[in-house]
Amino acid sequence: MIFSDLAFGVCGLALVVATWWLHRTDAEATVTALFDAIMTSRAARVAIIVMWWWIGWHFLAGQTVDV
Amino acid sequence: MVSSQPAPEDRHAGAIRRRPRWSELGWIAVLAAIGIVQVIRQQWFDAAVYGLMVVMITADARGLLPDRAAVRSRPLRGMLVAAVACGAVLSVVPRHGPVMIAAMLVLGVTALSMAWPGPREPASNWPRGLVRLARAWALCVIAGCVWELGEFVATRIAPHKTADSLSDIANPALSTTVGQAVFVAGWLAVGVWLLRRGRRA
Repeated sequence: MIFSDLAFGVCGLALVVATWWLHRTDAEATVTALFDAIMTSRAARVAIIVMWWWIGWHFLAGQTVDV
Repeated sequence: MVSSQPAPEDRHAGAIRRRPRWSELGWIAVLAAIGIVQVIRQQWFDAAVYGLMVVMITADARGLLPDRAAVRSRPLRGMLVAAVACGAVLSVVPRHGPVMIAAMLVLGVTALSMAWPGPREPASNWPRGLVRLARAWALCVIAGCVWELGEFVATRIAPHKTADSLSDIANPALSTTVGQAVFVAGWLAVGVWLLRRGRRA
């Protein structure tokens, strides 16, 4: 369990640090601007919304843990 | 056939035929990959959702569906009121129960009906800083997904092994009332934020 905690923690931390660092070097580089650009495309917009919804479904309604 | 440039169009039965772009094929591949994992997990409803989305986005990318480019207004205040009302219900309803399932299905259909209308074509001429940020996000998210997939495969190869996927880590916290409420609040906030993205100025 400790390795997975660490791996997901590192990925999350890297995301935060990279976002902060790139915004420092370029004021235009914000997460909002990034998703505004990505989600201009319908395929991306629908895919991201479906993945967001499925995360909620998976943890709240569907089978969360495989036994 | 695939194109990264605007494709020659062919009007047919109210829709405009077009060639899918590489970026659209990439999103279709991501959804198909998640759907395959759901088939392996024997989660047939989840697999069907992803399968249906693959079919719909592929049909849209090929111009087989009418292009609903007009965006309905999405007032922030209205969305926040709806999100708070949903959050109040989802925080107290038992997980995996019939009320939760019904509420999540209604929420899913509503979110999809809000996300579908709008521009079909991806943005062009991204600023350099945004390209760098996109690459950094892609790298971090893909790394996390690869680890999750590795844990999933490991438990399939050795079923007696303790599963360490994100679901296994988060599930105990979500089993508490506070954990469920915090998750619902964060998840709905991200949803409202996402539904307001991608609107061309």
